[in-house]
Amino acid sequence: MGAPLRSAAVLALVLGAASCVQLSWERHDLHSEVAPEDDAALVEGEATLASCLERLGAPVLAWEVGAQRFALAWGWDKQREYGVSISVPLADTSSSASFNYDDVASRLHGLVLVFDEGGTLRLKRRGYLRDLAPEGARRPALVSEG
Amino acid sequence: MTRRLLPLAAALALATTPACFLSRNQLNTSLDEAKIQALAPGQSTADDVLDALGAPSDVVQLGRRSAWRYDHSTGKTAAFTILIVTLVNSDVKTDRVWAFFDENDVLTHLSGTFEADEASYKMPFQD
Repeated sequence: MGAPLRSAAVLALVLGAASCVQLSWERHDLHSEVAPEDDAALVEGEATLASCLERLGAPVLAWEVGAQRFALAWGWDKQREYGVSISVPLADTSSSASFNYDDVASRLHGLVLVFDEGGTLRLKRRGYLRDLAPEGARRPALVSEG
Repeated sequence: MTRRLLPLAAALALATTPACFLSRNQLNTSLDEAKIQALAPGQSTADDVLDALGAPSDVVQLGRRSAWRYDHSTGKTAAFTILIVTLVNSDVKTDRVWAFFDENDVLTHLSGTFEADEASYKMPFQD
């Protein structure tokens, strides 16, 4: 083992054992994405509540839009997180200073369909569900991460 | 030289001993597909749905309509740590059923998605 390699191994061991440096790679998936072809097949003014439910399955959310319309949302979440955490203990104190860098690729997508009172599709929007659904309609993740 | 390296090798072996865990979370009892398929839009009523599936997780008023949601979810998390590297993957899939009723509480639409069994343990680099 060469001297540089040995030094690197010792340094990694020391830093790792002290939990000073942590590298993380996380992936979190919630629900399944609506296929673009299913989305494209639903035409405003033509598709009905029945045809939308048949093609997309059960929605995640439903809410009233004014007095005459209602909306259904299909949502999915795919998060990819790559993190580097560096923590430096401070002498003579019980606390530590830390620096944290995370590249969080948060993907909370959804498809929202708005129907009229007769059940005809009138509006279709795809994007971030947090922007498309009102606050009261959104609910927390069904299962807390372990 | 070999004697000097032995402690270092032993320490490295201990420090890099990998650790992993698997966890599984579930919410609500699973939905009975046979009972769901026995419900008939246009014929079944809210009482029939209540008898078959019990209390819903959510009730939403949609103008003159109303909708009930039933759900059951399974989440599986796998994590692997070696030295300073940690890999974590969580996969949550849900069985969902929405029952839509008209103003007379007659079932008009019934929709189900059953994916909870598809949740899996895997690493972030696996598809």
